Amino acid sequence: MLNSSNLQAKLSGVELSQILGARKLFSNLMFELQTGQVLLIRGANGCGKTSLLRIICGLALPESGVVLWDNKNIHQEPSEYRTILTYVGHRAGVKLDLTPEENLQLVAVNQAQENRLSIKTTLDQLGLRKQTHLQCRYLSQGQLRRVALGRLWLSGTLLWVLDEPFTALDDNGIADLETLLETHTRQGGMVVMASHRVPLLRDVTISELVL
Amino acid sequence: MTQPAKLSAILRILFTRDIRLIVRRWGDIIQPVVFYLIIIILFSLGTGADPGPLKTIGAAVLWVAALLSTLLGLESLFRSDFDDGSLEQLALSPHPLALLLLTRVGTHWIATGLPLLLVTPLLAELLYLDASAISIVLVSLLIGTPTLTLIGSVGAALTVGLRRGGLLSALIVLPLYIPVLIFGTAAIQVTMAGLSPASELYALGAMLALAITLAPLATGTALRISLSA
Repeated sequence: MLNSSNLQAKLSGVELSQILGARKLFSNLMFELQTGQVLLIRGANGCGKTSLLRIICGLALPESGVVLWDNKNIHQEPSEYRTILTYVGHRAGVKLDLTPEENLQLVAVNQAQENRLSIKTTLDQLGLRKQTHLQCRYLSQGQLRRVALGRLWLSGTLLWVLDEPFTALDDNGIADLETLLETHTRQGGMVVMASHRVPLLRDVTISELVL
Repeated sequence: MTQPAKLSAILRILFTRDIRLIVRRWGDIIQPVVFYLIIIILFSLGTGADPGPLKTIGAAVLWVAALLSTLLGLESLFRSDFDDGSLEQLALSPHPLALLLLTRVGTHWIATGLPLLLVTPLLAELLYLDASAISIVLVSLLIGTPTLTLIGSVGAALTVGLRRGGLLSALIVLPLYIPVLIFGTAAIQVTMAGLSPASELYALGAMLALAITLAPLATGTALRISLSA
């Protein structure tokens, strides 16, 4: 799925600090992530996991420190960095007035044509076959989560940044997502995720970062 | 590395998606045009049976109403996208944010600006505008209202992260609307005085050209600032 030219890629954070109001969220944080690895960010509620993920995506700026992609600051060539990045945040970017299929269209077209699973196959795998033509406002929380995560199934990107991806998923959903993460990392993909649950991934290096 | 899909395909999908959302949420979308209708009807009722005052200020009433209803519509431009996280996804797209936003603002104008044009011929009678001036009224609105939406998008983007950003956005944007208001009303008044409105319309056109090129860039930057907070 993933092109081999990128298999030596590296994501690293150097001396990252963030301040929220008057409170220090974290300081001098260092991490490094190679291809085929998972970085699991753990910590109590409110310790800055989401803030860190938003910094890694380039959505927010850290108080000090830099995030490097291939030893280059991600803000140097942001559009290049964004082509290899998929972010699934807390607020999932799912429109309640659109059907799951319509929601995923914009994602699908963002990715390389040859890598693309069709939206239909993806919805089948997500267990949303019956809901294809139902507006998302009639779906349950777990089903909405599946729609949001659907962008991962469609994505051909290298780096996935996930914020609490297991929230609201049932056992099947969790298993499906773990299988997907396993496949992705085996093929040389990289995953940064904040989660309270340690994912069960066979033969995959998971490094933990505790805030 | 994965090659992102063609920009034109993205813009087309974004456009149809926005139009779909507009159709499904038409209840929110018709509010500005209803507001526009009501302001003008209130003015014509409030000035009584004497056509004199309205004949002099009719053009201004029309433009101020258009301006206020544009402001009212701005609240819905980015709000729901910000709340549900779609805006983050848009900001993370590898494509130029300014172009994506220009598409978004364009569809927003189709939903909130274009209806004003459609109901204006019905209202012209209420404001005692000459039949000969109606086409100029429509042309000036056709050039002027997209400018208003584009300028407004900057204010909306700046304040979308604030809880009660609506009023602040109005305070930022209204002073910037003054040139459009001046040339828009002047075009109508000049026509009713029997002169050519060409220079006023050219000025409005120049403002639109400027707004199309600069406003999306400013809006994109403002949105990134709002998102980073």
